[in-house]
Amino acid sequence: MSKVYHWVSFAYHDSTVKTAIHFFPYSGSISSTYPVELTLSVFGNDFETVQITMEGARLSQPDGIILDQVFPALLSQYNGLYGVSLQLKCPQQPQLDLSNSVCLTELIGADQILRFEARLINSAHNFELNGVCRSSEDLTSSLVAINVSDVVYNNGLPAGLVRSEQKPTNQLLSGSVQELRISDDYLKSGLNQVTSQGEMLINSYHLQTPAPEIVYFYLERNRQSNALQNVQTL
Amino acid sequence: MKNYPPLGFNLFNSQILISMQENFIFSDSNNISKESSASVMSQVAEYSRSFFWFAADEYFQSTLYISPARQDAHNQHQIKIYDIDGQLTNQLNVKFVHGLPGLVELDGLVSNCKLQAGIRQGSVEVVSAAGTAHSCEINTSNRELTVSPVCKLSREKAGFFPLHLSTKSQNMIALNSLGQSDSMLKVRLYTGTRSPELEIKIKAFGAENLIIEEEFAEYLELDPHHDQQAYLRIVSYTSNDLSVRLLEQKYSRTNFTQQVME
Repeated sequence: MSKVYHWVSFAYHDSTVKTAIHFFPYSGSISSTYPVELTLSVFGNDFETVQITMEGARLSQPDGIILDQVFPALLSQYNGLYGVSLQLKCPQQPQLDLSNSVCLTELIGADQILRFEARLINSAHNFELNGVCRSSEDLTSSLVAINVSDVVYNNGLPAGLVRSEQKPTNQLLSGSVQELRISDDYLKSGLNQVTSQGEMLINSYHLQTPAPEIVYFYLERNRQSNALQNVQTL
Repeated sequence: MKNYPPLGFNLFNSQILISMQENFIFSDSNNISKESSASVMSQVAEYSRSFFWFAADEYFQSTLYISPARQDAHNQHQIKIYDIDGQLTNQLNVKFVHGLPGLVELDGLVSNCKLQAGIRQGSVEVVSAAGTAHSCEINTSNRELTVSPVCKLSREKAGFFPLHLSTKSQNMIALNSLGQSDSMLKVRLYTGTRSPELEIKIKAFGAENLIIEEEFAEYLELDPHHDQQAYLRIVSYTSNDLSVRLLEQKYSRTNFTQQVME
């Protein structure tokens, strides 16, 4: 049985933004272009999980798909974030190590492209995540938590980090994608600095990941338009 | 602990412990690295070490963000600046308030760094206690320019970028090497049925730029009306850690180099 390598990311859909998933099946110095089987799933809070298996991908050959073209009916009426799962395996070489493959998400808007790596959930896991969050009069920040396990988990976010009026803030259901805005009070407890980018509130966050199947991303949005401006894979 | 006067750069929530302008003597960069690392490492058994390409001039602002580990009692960090040839041009140690993040705007620290492709650029190295998170944000006043997140690569992990090629854009990769020896890389472009490859060398601690449309010009048939999907794969043949950023310039008037030189 082939070993399966599993990446998790999120995508976004509205009238101006489409999402592409690019992948590069890679196994170090092996130059043979063995066939690679790809299983793609999309899921979210407002629709059922849909999964397709695609053939035609090959080892050491980059490829990509635009989700809006693969799932046109599902996404045509949908606006917002949703989850993406991508699994790669090499049936002809079941023991091939594909852990150094790359899977990238591209959010393609009219003015800009945001690109970030999907998270591989097979590999050794860092349960303690650390980073910087910030806000300004033009910028808000949030954390996206995705649960691709079959069970409900606590979302691992410490008390006070995200806005308390958003419910539920601590339960992360199976197959759910939560975006949780970082609280102004939390940011105010850090630094208040005038930088070359203007006045900013900046603070550190520390997350305790409850399981490898829980994946986090840090987002920044334009405060006025709510457009995504920056994404970091955690 | 001595407080040094402002050095003409913005450094927030911090106290400068050592600055190169005050007490640094030029010598071989490899030796400097060992000595400096030893002084910081004597305080912590394990450490976090990061290495970023930066650009800092009138078009680019690069800012280093440091988020301390939860258990880090010192919140002290060593920062080194290298130019594109890998020569150490500046270094400082900073100490932030306990438990709080800090940021360092690099513009004022990099005046000794050389220009390449019209950009003042180089590499910044940060060494901190284990568990510290580092990031380097590059902002640009040019709305048509996008700078990708950092992609780290090694002998095991290849770099990978989707490209949108057209006559109305230009793509540049900025590579830098953390190694104390030269790094050899192969950069392969996948466009249609073609996959040309070229080999490049990066000096120890140095940086290198590659403008895709120029380096692979003979293999490209660009359409002014449609973007052409292509991919870039970068493989390292040495054991050094490397990082890559992709800079995508959409333009209507001039090409990338002309724009930054204007």
